[in-house]
This record gives sequence, structure tokens and C-alpha cells, in this order.
Amino acid sequence: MLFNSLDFALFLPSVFVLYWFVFQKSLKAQNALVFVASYVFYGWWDWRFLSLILFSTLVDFFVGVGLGKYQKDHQRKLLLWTSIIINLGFLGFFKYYNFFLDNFVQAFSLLGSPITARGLDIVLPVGISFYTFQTMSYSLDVYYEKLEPTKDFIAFSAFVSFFPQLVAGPIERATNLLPQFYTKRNFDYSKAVDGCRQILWGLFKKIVIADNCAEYANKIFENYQDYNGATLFLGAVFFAFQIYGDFSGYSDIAIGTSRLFGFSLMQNFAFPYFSRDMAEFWRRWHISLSTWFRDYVYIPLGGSRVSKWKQVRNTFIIFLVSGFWHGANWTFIAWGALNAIYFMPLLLRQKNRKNLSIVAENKFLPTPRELFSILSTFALTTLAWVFFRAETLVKALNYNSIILNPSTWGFLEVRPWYFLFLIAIFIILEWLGRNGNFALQYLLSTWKKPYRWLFYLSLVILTFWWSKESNEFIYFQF
Amino acid sequence: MRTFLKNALLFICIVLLYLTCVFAFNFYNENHPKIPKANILFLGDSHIKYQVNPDSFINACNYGQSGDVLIGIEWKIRTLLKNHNDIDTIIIPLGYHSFREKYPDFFESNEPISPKLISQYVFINPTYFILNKNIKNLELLYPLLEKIKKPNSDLPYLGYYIENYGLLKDSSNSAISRHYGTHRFFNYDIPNIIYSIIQVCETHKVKCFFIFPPTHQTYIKRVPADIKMQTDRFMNKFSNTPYFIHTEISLDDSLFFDGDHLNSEGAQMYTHSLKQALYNKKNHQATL
Repeated sequence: MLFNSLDFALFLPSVFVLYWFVFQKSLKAQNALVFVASYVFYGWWDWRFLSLILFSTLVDFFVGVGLGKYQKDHQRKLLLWTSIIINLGFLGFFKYYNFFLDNFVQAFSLLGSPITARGLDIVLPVGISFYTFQTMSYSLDVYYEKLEPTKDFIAFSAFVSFFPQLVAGPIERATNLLPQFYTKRNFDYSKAVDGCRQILWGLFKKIVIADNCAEYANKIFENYQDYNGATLFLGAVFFAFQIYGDFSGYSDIAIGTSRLFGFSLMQNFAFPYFSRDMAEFWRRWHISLSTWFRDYVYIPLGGSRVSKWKQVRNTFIIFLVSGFWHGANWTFIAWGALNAIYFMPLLLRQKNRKNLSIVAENKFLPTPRELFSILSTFALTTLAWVFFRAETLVKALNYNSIILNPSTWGFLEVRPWYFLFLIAIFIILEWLGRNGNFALQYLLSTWKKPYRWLFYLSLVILTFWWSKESNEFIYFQF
Repeated sequence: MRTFLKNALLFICIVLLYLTCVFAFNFYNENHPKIPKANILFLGDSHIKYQVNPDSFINACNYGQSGDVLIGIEWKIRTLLKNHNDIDTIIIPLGYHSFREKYPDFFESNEPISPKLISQYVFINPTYFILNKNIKNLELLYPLLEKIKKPNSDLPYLGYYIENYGLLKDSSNSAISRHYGTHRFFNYDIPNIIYSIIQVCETHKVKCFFIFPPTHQTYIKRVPADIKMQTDRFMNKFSNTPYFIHTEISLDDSLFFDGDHLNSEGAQMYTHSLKQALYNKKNHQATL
């Protein structure tokens, strides 16, 4: 079920009413409702893949029970590895089987011993990377004794399949979300209103910004050989806003929806395009995935408490794995590698934790130096997005080589002025609201109610006017 | 909770009120189309919409809609001629893409109908949101087509691509894939639709002319072989009938916007040539 669909517009109020008016007296009943609603939400896409989530849930639930029961190190390791192998096994099969097969075949051909192997027609279950990582976080946290294993299967199932963030995150840590299923949730007016505001902003980002950027980005990327460097750069900028609007829009809707049910999810995006360097960008972009890799891969590898060379190695591992997590294609790996390269100067000069607070805090405008840092970071990010968007490495390299060749630059050949004006307004709103968890959180707090409502209504109208056919969120494929 | 529900319902009511107003406004406009009195009516897809300037003709009106299909045009003619007695001439474009296999696949496939097509006929999004998943065939689309209105009336006929479309270049490749997709064969139903259009016009004593707007050589070379061969065969016969207008015009690369559309200068030249050809034809034929 898509957030930007009529189905969800009917589904959400129905679950809301049942949750607060029918099942409000019993915590278990509310959890059961969340569990059933989440399975309906996922099954709307393809009910057959519910068995995968259920199996994954069962595995980690019993691994957790086992970890609570057994104290010996080798028994606990065995249980943990059972969870990791099963979860990553599913992910590997559905997402990476054909990629590895094709690459093996090509590698053997290059070595002069051609082999033939037939790829499988595998349907990638929506959101498999997200719920696999979420459920694995539970086993890992129980193993590291950060969390007590649960004995409440319904609460655990509801945690794994929690519908607002099931298919595209934020990837919640068991230590944050699971305990929320044990405690009584009370309706909180300000939390619910904030949730609605965040849903509205998320829909605006998805429908107005992302879907419209997609139209221009697709046309430019598909015919990139016909355009000059400036236009190609604009195409990459469109894609940068597309992916930001799409994914952070989804996260906003997910977090806002959770708040309506009394849950608090972690912030997933913190205005990443206002970052002053790549390290800051990665602290602000897809926070739930970055911190997942930090907590469960980077730190176990030694983190930053090891020699410089090992820090460099660990950083490359994190970025390459992160790239590969996004998809079974060399373009994603190249995207990860490029970001690791961007990160290196900061790491080597120990400047990667330089910009920890939000830019121009308590100020209206950034300093020229800050502005320059923001723009240069954005330009680097945009060039990296080309690898993320392009179908092949060759295409990405060609695309970027045209952009980086000054002789190819000229006047923009794509000039959707009205839409560019709308993007400018969007950037201004994001800038003004950058102190909150999302742009509208505190932005309108001093406004009188009629003006606030007028603003919300304007967003709704803009969303209708600029809406395209209902597009899937990009991150579903990951 | 009560305050939240009260505020939420109030806000939803305001949104619904807005949508109802827009819907009512559009519904009224669609049922009371402001069609100016015109003797000459241009119908068709983007090859008419953006390549023929009606102001160059006396009492002419351009009702072209991008992506329009012959079966839709046939229906439009029937509907318009019922209510508009002033029309005496209708001009419709044909192109290789008009003859593709399963040409009106918007109507025939089991997939949801192209929302883009619907949005051309039905402007308002609420209906489009609700209906675009359910409409699967032409019969269901007909009631929507009843709400015919002049599309994009604020856009210029010529120079649209340069000033408004924003994308100056569109390779022949993408035009070919846009037009034909997986349909590589000639559709033998299309000549019947053409003859049906002629018949409807004759019934209403309206002159009906078809034209074949210019396309770039790079585009023509890429047209699927079967469609090209069969279309050429059909057009060889059809172009000798009184229902076809030949335009004498030579266009070089600088006059094309992309593989199958002229730029504003090319469109102006084409309009001029069409005007000459039409008046020559009308002078030679008092009636059909």
C-alpha cells in the first residue's frame, strides 16, 4: 500500500479509530491490531511475501529467547550467527543472487573459461532490506546485552512489521522501538498534531518535489547525450531533490503516522543538503542506516579506536557495504566508494567531527564561508548521485565527464521556471525550519491559527495541483 | 482527543469544500464548453496542437490535444457535430504512429488506463485520483469524454515546445519508443476508424480532410518496418482521395524541434503551406 494512495487514505483513519476507540483499553489488543494492520498493509502489495516476514520474525524471536536462556559464549554465538545467516541468506537470495551469478559468469568469461548459468526470475520483496536489518538489530542488541529478550511474541511481531516504517524505514533499533510496545500509549494531542503536520510535509515532499523532479531527471538522464554540461548538472540536481523528497518524504509520513499511534521513531533526515562537509552530510542523511552500520559494523571492526590505516579500511567497508545495501549493481558500489573517497580527507585530517551543530544556528543567514561549504558539499553529493541514478557505470562516467568538461557548458536547455521557483520556495522553507525535526515543526508555531491553517491548505492545494500519477517510492526497491 | 478529532474533521471538511468547489467549477466548464463559433476545426494530437496556428485561417479553431488518438477523435467529432452547426470543415492529422498495432492501447489493455490520457480529458485531480485505477476500457471512458473542453487554452499554438515545454531536445529514439513501445505492427482497424470519421462528417455535411504532418528523416528511418510499409501502402491509395490534403513544403533540420515535431518557425511555415493547400482544395471542391 502506498502512502500517497487512496487505499492508505482510507486505511489510516480506519486503523486510527480502531486503535484509539475500540482497542484502547488493552495494550495487548492494541499491539495485536498494529500487528494485523501491518500485515494487511504489507499484504496489500503481495500477501505471499508475508510468510518471509513471519519466518524472519519467528527466527529472531526464538533466537532472542535462546540468547536469554543460554549463557555459554559459543552457544550464544551460534544463535546469533543462525539469525545473521538466515536473515542475510534471504536478503542475499532475493536481492543479490542474480548479481553474483552474472558476475561469476562474466569473470569466468574474462578468464577464458566461459560458463553458462541461468539467472532466476526473482521478485524482490518490497522493503526486505529494511525489515531484515530491523529484526537483526534485535538479535544483535540481545546478544550484546543491550536489551532483554522479549517473551511477548505479538509485541515483537508488531515491532518487526510496524506498518509505518515497514517498507522504507526508518530502520528502527530494537532498543528504541520494542520497549514502546510494552508500555501503555496515551493519546497526546500535541504529538498527534505534530504527526499530522509531518505527514502533510512528507506528502508535499513526495508528490510535489520528488515526483516532479523525477519527470525532468528521467528525461535528462535518458537523453543525456543530447544535452550540454549545465543541463546535465541540472538533471543531477533534479535527481538529488527527487531522492531527498522521495525518501525523506516517506520517512516524514512514517514518523508522523507513528506519532498518531503514540510511537516515537528516530529522525531519519536532518536537512542533509545544508551540510558543510561530507561527514556532516552522512550524519544527516538516512540516519537510521548510517547509525545501524556504525553500531553493528564499524564499531565491532574497531571503529575509530584503531590505527589510521584500519580506520580508513573500516570507513571504506562501511561505505561499500552501504552502497551495496542499496542495490545489486556496480553503480551503487561506485557511489559508496566515491563517498568514501570524499570522506577520506576529513578522516585523515581528523576533521570529520568538525560540524556537529546545525549550520548558522540561531542566525537567519549563513556566512559566505558557510554558504560556500554548503554549496560545494551539495555539488559533490550531486556528482555522486549520478552513479546512484545511472543504469551502468559507463553511463555514469560519461554523464559526469560531460558535466566536468567546462567546454560543454552553455545556457540551460531545460527550463521549467515555475517548478524551479517552487523548489526555491521549498529550500527556503527547509532552511527556515532547520532547527526542528522537520521543516514545519516549529516554523509556524508563532503564527495565528487561521494563518497556520491557510498555510496547510496551500500545501494541500499545491499537492493536488502538482500531483502526477501515483508513483512508488524509490526506496521500496531497496 | 476530542479537540484533535474536531480540528482534524474541520480541516478535512475545508479541504473537501475546496475540492468540491474546484470540481463544480470544472464540471460546469466541461458541460458548458466555451467553443467559439468556428467554421474550420482542427482536431488531433500534438502534431496539430502545436503545429497549426488557427489564427492564420478565417474562423478556425484548434482543438488538438497531445497524445490524442483517432478513436477518441472520432468520438469527439460525433459529439461536437451534434451541437455545433457552424463547423463546415474538419482537419485531422495522420502519422505513422496513428497506424500502430493496438493503437488505442489505453483502451484495450488490462492495465489501468494511462492517467496522462485521462488528465487531458478530465482536468480535476479528485476524479482522476479516484478513477484512474478503475477505468479499463473505452466504454468506461466515454462518459468522461463527454466532458469535452478546450485543453490548455492559455498555451500558444506555435513555439510551445521552446517556450513552455522546457526540453528542447528529444531524440528520435525516444519519440519512437514513445509512439510504438512494443507495438511493431500495422493496425488494420485504423483505416476503418478513418472511414468512420469520414462517414460521420458526410452525415453532417461537413468537409473532412486528413493531413500527414512532416516528420524528420531520422524518425522515419526508425519507424517499425511493418508499420512503415503498410502505412505507405495505405497512404498511396488514400492520398488520391478527396479527403487528403497534400502540403508542398521543404523543411530542413533547423525547422524541427525534435524527431516528429516542428519548432515555431517550422510550424509557421507548415501552417502557411496548409492554408494554401486547404483553400486550393476548397475552391476546387464545393462539396465532397
